[in-house]
Amino acid sequence: MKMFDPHIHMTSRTTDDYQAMANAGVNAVIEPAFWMGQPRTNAGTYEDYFMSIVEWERFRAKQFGIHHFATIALNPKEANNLYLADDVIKMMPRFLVKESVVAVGEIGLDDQSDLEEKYFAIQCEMAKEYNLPILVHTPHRDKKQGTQRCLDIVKESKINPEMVLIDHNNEQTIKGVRDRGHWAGHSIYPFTKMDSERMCAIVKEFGSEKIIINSAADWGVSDPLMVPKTVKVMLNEGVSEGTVSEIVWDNPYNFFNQSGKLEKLLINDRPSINQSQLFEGNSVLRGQDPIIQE
Amino acid sequence: MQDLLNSYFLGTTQEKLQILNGLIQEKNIKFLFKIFSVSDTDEKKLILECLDQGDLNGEFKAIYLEAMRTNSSELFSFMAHTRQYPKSFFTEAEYNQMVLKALFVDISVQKIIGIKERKNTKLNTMINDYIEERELANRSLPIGVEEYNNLGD
Ligand SMILES: [Zn+2]
Repeated sequence: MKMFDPHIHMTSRTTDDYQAMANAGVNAVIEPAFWMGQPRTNAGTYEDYFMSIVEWERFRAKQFGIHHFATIALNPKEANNLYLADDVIKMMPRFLVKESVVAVGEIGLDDQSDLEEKYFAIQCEMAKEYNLPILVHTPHRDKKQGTQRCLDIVKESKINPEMVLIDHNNEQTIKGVRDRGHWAGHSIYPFTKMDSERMCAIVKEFGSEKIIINSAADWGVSDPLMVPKTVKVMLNEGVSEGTVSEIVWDNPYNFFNQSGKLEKLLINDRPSINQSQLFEGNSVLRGQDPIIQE
Repeated sequence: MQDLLNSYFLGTTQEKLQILNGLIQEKNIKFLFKIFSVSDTDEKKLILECLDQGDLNGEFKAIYLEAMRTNSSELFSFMAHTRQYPKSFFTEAEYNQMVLKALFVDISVQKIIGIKERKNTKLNTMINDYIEERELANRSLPIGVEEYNNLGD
């Protein structure tokens, strides 16, 4: 079964993680632009970050046979920083047109401040202009109200509801999201809010239509194998292979392919590995024998 | 710019305070924000303390709000538990976010400055939603929830 992890911050993970993901059957990942754990002090570091997720990280992933795509955005937390927000918005267009950028995201709300709402709306407009879907981060605090507010802002933007993936859902929010015609993402975390069993129960109750799962793994306590692990749990619990495959491949593929970009880049199940390749003179290897499939 | 930053950071605490108070008087939010954003935790505390004492009209609130986004519970509880600034200048929505965040980083809620006066019905709803969410995830409630419920009206 082919698997997509459509929300994972690989830039904060190791090559061991890439190897383990490849071994567990993950074929493709999407890396949404997000914040780095501590606030950025200027817009320039955003530029380097965007470059690294569309170039360097993509190169790393390929060295382990994993397709890598990115989404680009000013994240909601940093929308509150008056001194960098506008500059980041201005640099976004040249990244949005890159071949591996498949959506605008993560946009959305965090503290639910006025500035967050302002830049959320601006970026919905950009998505329409560049014909890209949007990936919406819903707040972890005050989730119920915050998700509702996200849905309202999306509606006000008049973006096609099919072009919207609302992320970090739970049982309280999923119905409202699908009723509006959006896709519903679920981040599966180890030990916490949403584990594989709970996700499985959601699938049994709500079916697979427009349901997407991801690991949302980043620099915090998280598990980059959450998608394959949840696949196992769902199959063990009697969810059919067709349904599972729809959730971990067809749905994310169909959603992000609305950018028109996946069908051009995802021709093979895996990119062929050539670890002898260098990126600006750098290798992912440290003296090991390179694996070469080409 | 780098020269100005260096002369600030290489100065003694006394010299830092002088510069900070000068910036507050000039209402130079932009440069103070820049200094703040490249300060470490202790240096940030100094700035927040200065604002708490010198910014009498809450004109530098953007810096407090930025500071509230920290991942450091030390810095967070310094603001929430020891500074008057949030109580004086945060809007209801901003104050509520601070209380919710206190639950998330698992620090005391009853110690938040102004919590009794600034408790409000929206916050009650937010905390009830939060309890419901934790229960769905089979997770225990942080101590702050009980503290909040024991505050009385
Ligand atoms: Zn994320």
